[in-house]
Amino acid sequence: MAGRGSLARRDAVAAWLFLAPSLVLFITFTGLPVVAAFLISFTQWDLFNPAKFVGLGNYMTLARDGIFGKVMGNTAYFVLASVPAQMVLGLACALALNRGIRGQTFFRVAYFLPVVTSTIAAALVWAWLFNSNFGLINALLSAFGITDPPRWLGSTTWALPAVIVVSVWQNVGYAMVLFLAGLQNIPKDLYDAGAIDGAQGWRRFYYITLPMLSPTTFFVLIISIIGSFQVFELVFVMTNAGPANATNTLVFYIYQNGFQFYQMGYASAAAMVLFLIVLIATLVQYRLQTRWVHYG
Amino acid sequence: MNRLLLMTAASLAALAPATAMAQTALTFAYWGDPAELPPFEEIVSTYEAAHPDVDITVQHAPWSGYFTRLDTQLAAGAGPDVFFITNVPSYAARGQLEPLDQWIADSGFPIDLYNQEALKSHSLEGALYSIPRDNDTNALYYNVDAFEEAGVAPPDGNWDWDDLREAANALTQREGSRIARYGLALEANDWPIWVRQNGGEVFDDSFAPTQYRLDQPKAVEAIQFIGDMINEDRVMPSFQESQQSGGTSQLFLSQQAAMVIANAARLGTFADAPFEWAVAPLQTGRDGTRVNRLGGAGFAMNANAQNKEAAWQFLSFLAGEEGQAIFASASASAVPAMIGSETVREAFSAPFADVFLAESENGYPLPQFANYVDITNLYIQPALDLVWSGEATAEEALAGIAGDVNARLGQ
Repeated sequence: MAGRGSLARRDAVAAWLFLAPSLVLFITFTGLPVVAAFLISFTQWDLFNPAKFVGLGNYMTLARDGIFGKVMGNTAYFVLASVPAQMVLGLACALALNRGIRGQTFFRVAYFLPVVTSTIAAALVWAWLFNSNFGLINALLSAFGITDPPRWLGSTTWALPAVIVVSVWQNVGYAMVLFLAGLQNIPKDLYDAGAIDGAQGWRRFYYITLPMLSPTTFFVLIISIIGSFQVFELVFVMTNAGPANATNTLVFYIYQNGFQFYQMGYASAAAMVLFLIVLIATLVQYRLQTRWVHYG
Repeated sequence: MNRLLLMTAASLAALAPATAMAQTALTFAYWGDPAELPPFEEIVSTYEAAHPDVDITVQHAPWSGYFTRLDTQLAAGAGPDVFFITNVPSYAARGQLEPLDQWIADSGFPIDLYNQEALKSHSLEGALYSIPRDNDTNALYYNVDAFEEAGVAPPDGNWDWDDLREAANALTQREGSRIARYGLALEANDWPIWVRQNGGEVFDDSFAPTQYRLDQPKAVEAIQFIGDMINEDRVMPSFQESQQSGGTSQLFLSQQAAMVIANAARLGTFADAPFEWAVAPLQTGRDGTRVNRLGGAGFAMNANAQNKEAAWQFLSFLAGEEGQAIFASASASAVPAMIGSETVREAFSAPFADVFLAESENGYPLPQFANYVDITNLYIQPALDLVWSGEATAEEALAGIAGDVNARLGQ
């Protein structure tokens, strides 16, 4: 009667019950919309009038869309610049703070503050700093004798780097906190053993810290790649994708097509491309991790 | 216990429709800076006082956030019943606005008192979808103190492009490589007026375009002229810089720009400025051509409004003589759109009202058609960005997008 099978079943029922709240939310607000977006991407739909099936039409248009090409380039630039910068700086901060220097708590708070600051507020203040004529950054540059400082957000060359700087500033603290936790999990014995074998400074870092930290590094890498692909608010507030689409990124372009031009089908097709890129990037990471990630 | 609960529920349910039926609920949405809000508030309270059965809920947002919210609401098939709106043909083409012609005919609304040319930008394929609140007439605001200090003669009403540029030059204060005060600041969407002043045009037709014309010499010359004031003379901030600095009104108030070209709403914004200022007619083209903006934002009804009869009642008050007079007499003023009404003309008694009224005669309708927003955001704005940032000449930038724009026009 109350055999093994029924116990296992009761466990399963309990498990599903516990999972239910988040499962329901996930299906309603993530699962179904993703499926819907996939279907919408094969239609022409302005939200108001009935959708018209166009097969792969949206995808073909994307392939020929010069602005979409530029947007892809900008997004790649953004990811390739901001992810390494975030990781290296985050790790450097974590290493520095892990040495037990004075005022540790203060620095931790200072570096983490941007993470919890409202993106919109921070972006507005940064836009002020970057103001080409009245801004603080160019005031400093001209104080150092630079007579023709960049126009930052008004220049097609400098606008994207400026947005990247803000993004890095905003995300370094998050990487730092994760790295700090990772560093504190490395057993002291390893360093002691290493010291006996004569490992010092750089070698200590390269042969003990880095490999032991690799699961954290892997996690930070995945999170920051996904986060960078999804950059939106900074662009929205600082540049509105300008000048001349120099800071238009994938998510912004999706927003533009969806909510400014009401081309939901086209926007969904672009969203599917983003989904595919992030999926492939993540899968590749998972594949590669066996070569460099060491789980203690 | 259960019975008690049931009874309470039943009596509550009985109460709810009773209160709802006594009141007609309307939602009215508009944008505006704090200084621009009083007339809207006055109209709502006046209307509610005259119609005790109507309860108007107000949705207000600043310009920057207004359309994001409105668009989302409309897309969900909801949204305010009556709202302040621009880019009317785009909304009308999506079926989001109620056509007004039948309502106007049935109620005898005096639409003839409006400037008929201005109504075109509120129409799509011959049907009217919104009634303009104002004529977005511009004028030149100038800082009198700055003129005296720089020894520049104030505008005499006949300045052409070159006079304006020369004055802007004399008024600009430089500190090393930085500009402490610009001579002039313009609104980002003002360039079509300059194109027209030079005898050029943006499209062959403002409302039903078939050809892109911004790459023609007259238009190119106008765009290059503005670009040169930004990059060669450096007497004017780029639009992007101006926006980061709080826009033209902030630049003018903080005396970081000695002249700005803006509409009558600024009369209120600048009322408490810590310096003396005045208003002059707009610059003319080099051959003396006078061109100003025609048409402004308007009031429309939601195609999905619950109670269209009540919505039209309110809309016709808003856009009627009484509503127009309230807007015209507000301190943050607007050149009234119902220009044929003597009451309304008289209500517009703001300082420099005569300058604005005279300028409103030179109105030229700006492009306004269903996919104008897409074409602007995707092609024209990015091309202009390159001119404003000095990275391309107007000729290169504007010729470069001709193919794409014409392809879109053909769709």
